[in-house]
Amino acid sequence: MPVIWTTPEAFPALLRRHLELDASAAAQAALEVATRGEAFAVLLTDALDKVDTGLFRQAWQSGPIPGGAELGNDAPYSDVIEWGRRPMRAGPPFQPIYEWVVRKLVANGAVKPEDAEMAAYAIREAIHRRGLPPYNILGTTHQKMRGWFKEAAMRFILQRGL
Amino acid sequence: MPTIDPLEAMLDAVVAELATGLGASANVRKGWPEHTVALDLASKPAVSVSLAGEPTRETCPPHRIDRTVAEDPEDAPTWLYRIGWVRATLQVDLWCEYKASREAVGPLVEASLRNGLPHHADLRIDAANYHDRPITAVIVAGVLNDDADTAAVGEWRRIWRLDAVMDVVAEYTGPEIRELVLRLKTRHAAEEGGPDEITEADLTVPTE
Repeated sequence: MPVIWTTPEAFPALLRRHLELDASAAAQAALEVATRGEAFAVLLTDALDKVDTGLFRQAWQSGPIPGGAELGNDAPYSDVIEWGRRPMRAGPPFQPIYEWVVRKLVANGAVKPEDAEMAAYAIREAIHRRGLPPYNILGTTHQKMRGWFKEAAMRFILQRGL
Repeated sequence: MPTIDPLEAMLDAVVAELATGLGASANVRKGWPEHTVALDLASKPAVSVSLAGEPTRETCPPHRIDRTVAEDPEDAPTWLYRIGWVRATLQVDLWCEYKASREAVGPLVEASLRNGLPHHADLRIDAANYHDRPITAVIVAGVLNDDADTAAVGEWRRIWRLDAVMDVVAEYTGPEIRELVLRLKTRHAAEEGGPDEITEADLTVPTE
């Protein structure tokens, strides 16, 4: 085990320096884990096969924030996929669905351009009537990330040394 | 004792616990709301208990946890073995028409999900239709699902996520092993040039 010799006068500064280095190592570990979590969330999204647009899949993003890192999905309906939506709730908004129909179904020829509005209304009605159960993608990823963070933080702190 | 899938038993047990804790304050239902059944929030708030995401299962070497002796002594007893665990994320949703009712019923739901305070902060119940196996569930997330349409739509929602664990068991009906016999045999000649003699020693070990 490495030993550090110090004096009582220098001990507070040494301790402060070590805590700063530990915090820096933990932030590095958090960023690594958030990046790994993003990949895992994309895999979960693919595995669930319930998301009919690539927008939700592509909207997973991770990055550093002051003191750590974050993982999230900024698709407009990501909270509905995560927490669910009960059947017969009013809505959902028409415009994003219409844009999706134009971008996906009209572009690949599944729907004629003149039928796009009708298709969007039909999809909106289906979501309104059937609702959507919670898929818990972020929650599942978060559970995994807690274990990864412990391992990564220990690794970064040990790599840093004394 | 009717036995069902452990996940169904887990949901049933949480629903029963919430129904007892909430009494007439809310309707408690199992599973995600169906489009064919209205929640009827106008009469009283509703609480739904459903699975969120995919459960995970782990197996372990069989470990005996219980034995049921048949009424007729001629019949073989039934043994209960733990063969693994199932871990699932349960989502408890409170649906209310008004914010005031959510604020009134929310603490009751929270108290039911922490039924062991002040000794422990998680939910500990037994699965009545799964061999009374214990369930442990910890609240891992809780949100108020409010958006710009909440008041207009008349749906004030509060969500709890529980990380729930229960063991998976299997029944085995078979004969009871009451003793284990170890027989030692030795062979030696009693006299030089004479016939061999065989000595046997029984070591009977009771297993109960």
